[in-house]
Amino acid sequence: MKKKFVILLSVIFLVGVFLTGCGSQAGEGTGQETGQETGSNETADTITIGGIFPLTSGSAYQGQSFKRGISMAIDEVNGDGGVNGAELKIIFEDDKSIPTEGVNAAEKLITQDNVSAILANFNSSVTLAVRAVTEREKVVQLTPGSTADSITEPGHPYMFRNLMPNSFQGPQLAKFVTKKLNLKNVAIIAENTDYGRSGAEQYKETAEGLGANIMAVEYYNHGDKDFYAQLTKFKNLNPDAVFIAGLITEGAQILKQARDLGLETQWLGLGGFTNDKFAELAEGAAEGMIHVSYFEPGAYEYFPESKEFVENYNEKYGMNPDMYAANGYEAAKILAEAIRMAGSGEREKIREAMTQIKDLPGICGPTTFDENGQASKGLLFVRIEDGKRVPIGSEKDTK
Amino acid sequence: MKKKWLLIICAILFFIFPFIIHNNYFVHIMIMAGINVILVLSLNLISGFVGQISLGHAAFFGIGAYASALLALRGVPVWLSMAASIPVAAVFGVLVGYPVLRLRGHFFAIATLGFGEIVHLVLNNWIDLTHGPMGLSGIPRPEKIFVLDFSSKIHYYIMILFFVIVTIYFSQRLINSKVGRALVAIRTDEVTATAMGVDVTYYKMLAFTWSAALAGFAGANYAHFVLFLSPETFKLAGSINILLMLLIGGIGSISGAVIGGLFITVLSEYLRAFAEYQMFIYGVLIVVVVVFAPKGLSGLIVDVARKVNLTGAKKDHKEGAKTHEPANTAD
Amino acid sequence: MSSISEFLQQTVNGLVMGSSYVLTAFGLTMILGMLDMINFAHGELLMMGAFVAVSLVIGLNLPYLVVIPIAIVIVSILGVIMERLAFRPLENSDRVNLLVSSLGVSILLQNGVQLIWGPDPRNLPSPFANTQFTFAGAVLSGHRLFVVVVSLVLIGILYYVIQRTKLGIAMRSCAFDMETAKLMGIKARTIIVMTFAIGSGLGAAAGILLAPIFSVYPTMGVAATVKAFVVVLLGGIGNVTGAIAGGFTLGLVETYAAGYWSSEYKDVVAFLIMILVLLFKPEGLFGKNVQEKV
Repeated sequence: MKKKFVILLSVIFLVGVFLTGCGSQAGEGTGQETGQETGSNETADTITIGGIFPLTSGSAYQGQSFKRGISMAIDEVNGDGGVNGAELKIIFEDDKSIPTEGVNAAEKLITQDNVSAILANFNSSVTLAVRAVTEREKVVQLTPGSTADSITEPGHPYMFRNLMPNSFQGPQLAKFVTKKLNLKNVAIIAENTDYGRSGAEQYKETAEGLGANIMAVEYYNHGDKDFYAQLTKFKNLNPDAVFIAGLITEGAQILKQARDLGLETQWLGLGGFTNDKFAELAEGAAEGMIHVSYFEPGAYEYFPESKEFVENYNEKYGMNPDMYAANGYEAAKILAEAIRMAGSGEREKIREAMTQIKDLPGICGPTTFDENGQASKGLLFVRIEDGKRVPIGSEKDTK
Repeated sequence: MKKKWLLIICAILFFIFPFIIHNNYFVHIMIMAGINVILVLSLNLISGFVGQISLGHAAFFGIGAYASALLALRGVPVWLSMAASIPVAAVFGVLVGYPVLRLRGHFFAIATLGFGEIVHLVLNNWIDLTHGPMGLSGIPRPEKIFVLDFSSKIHYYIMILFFVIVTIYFSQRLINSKVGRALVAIRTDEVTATAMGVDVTYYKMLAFTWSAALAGFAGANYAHFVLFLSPETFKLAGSINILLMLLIGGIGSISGAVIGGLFITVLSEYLRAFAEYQMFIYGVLIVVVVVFAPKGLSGLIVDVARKVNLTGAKKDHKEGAKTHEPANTAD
Repeated sequence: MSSISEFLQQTVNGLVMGSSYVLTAFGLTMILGMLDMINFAHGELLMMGAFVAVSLVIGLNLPYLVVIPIAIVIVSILGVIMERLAFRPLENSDRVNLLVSSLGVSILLQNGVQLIWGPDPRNLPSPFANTQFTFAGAVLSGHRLFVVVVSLVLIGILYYVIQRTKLGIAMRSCAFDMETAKLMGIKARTIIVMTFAIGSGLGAAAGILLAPIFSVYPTMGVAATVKAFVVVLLGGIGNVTGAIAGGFTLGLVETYAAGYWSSEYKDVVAFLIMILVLLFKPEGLFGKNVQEKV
């Protein structure tokens, strides 16, 4: 019987070798010879970068948005003659919102496809898991989508982010709501993830510091569909406002179900609601909601660089870009600029170039990374009127 | 002893391949596969040998991973933390196994599913201990041992390969022992086993506790390799994945567990090339494999080998008779 | 809003969700009872129902009320195809292979839908969304009332079919003992197909009814499958009356747990109750104790 076992083991081993062999033929060249420091072959006239986002599974909707924005940016860069004459190529991988999958994908991109830098990921937990890989392999990782504060904590020289963390938007919203709108009795319903939790906690801390009263904090799991119990509780509390720290799918259901219950209040939300789909999903229940926005298509007075992007995006995909597409587009452009400054696809040089980027114009505002790799961006407050988001202020109004 | 030689050659092949094929990605995937193989072997103890399908196995994987990571983050040496993951997971195995093992079949499956979800929710909501959805980062690598300092993947690979071999050896010994015979008797017919004087509860508990302990150890390996933990790795989808590996490989046999762990890990990487279509293809493949190879891949390979044997050169009678054993017996 | 009307409101919330759990669990419990298989693809039928309904309403501009029966029929056919391709080839193999096959079907349906319709969440407008009924401080929107009424009607019809008609008797005897039923001249294959058709149709009905208060997206069925397992075990496997009681119990327990204790741990409460029921009354809260077959 042992013999059987041995035969089977060797068969599967050979199959494994065969499979990976096929896989490596698909990638280009031999990663191990150019080694870990160099990145893409300098003599080649293409420079490869990687993108890891959830292209299937529950967050595929956001993942596809990133992919659209990034692809458009890469096409534009190549249309303008590439970077230093070299063509920019991107390989997208799917992380399925699972940290392990993200790690495997990063490993593939870095050692197999020999990418020069990586744009990744959306879910904060996946970004943090991938960060351990990019740090070990010394490859720049730029996230256009994860908002967990810990991502750009000190001590991670290869990690960069071109959007603001939760510790920025939560307190800003709290200041705006408490001081400007004078809404003091607030209930919070938050997604039980890093995004929702830290958004809710930061809001609570700041708002309570300003004398507001947080009446209740309720949680739901990503993918929940029934919010009537939490909302009934809120209805009894009769708050001035209810703050949803979540994303559009659950957010729209919360609003529809609150309307069913006759819960009328001022709705508040985080930046994740910046998406035309949201008002459509909520079927009118989102009217009057005020939320944070990182990017507004059409609000050119706030985002003066974005006109061309919005028009091209509409032409190419037949829809307005959401914040994911915009941040992804901007991140790809930032990376292209860093590669241009580095003069090649060499990984370490790209990292140095990233730290030297200064006030690089971009569609979401100028980019400069601080010593932790965090870019500083502004934000807007918008109100939903007739299904459209109308800017009503920015972070400057919270001072 | 031809088979012994083959086994040794196989082990050597696995040992030297990273030195021949200089491909870090391949080594990485083989490490992941190794962790999965340990995990599948651990599930095989309860689902294969005792025949109780568990839908909550990722919970023990998670308990071991978190236990080891939390200890190591508090300054306990990594090797000690990893060793500690075994008794910690075993304790949870006893706590869960004691009530749940009284159930059979689907009841057991769904009860373990419920238990797995509870563990996931506790990992997610007990922020003070686990950091909840924010996850645990900065988990240390194992300390230097002999020549292995874990700065390169090959060092991890050698460690995991060693543990895989130990686990296979352990499973083999277990199934060939008195315990193993008792477990097979229980799987075949619990009532008869009781009648023959087998202490059913004791042996089931033993298998379940070992199963949990091994899964916890796989978790510790995962934690100190990936260096980041968050609860969503350990929810229902994770348990289902482990179960799929075991069932696709061939439940109840050690080779099946090894093949399943390797095959599914490598397959899902291979499918990356199909981008958005990969999960769809994965689903179709699962249905196709189970419909055409209901005994799992190991069963399929044995069947094919037998056919080749029959049509090919004459084999002596004894060999032929031997291969006629059903694939699902523990070999 | 007083605490009494809050309690009333929470009870109403629980009952509405409960009625949809009953619909979802029916198909699962019948198939589990008859074929002894755990069907992990059941929640995907709910998702398919919602997607088919959305396409018919948005794409063909059909009214919601007309779409309900059409979508139910389409998904029933899908359920039968699923049985034919993924489950029937395994009818003589180990039961656990049916579970694996259903996992495969679940993955391919989720991702197939994403490939066809895209990953974007969608909504299904309901003609009853803007009416409201108030009773002693508790509010019930027109659509939620509609969900309850249609669910109760479907539950009633099914209950009648199973208890009183020839088909129902045949189904019950197949669930009780397939071999004996065959000997008695019952066409077991037809009965299995019918069971899949009815179960899939009811699952789809739950999806279509809930779509207007939920969002419709490819992974929406995953949680529904797990919830349906809980209901089935609370009620006792294969027990249709039990599924009715189990569905309402789960709906109420979840709602009260979230409303009066902790929304973070409401699922823990649901699973704990399920495990306790399994341990102390494994035949389900409402089942009869059945001697194990040797």
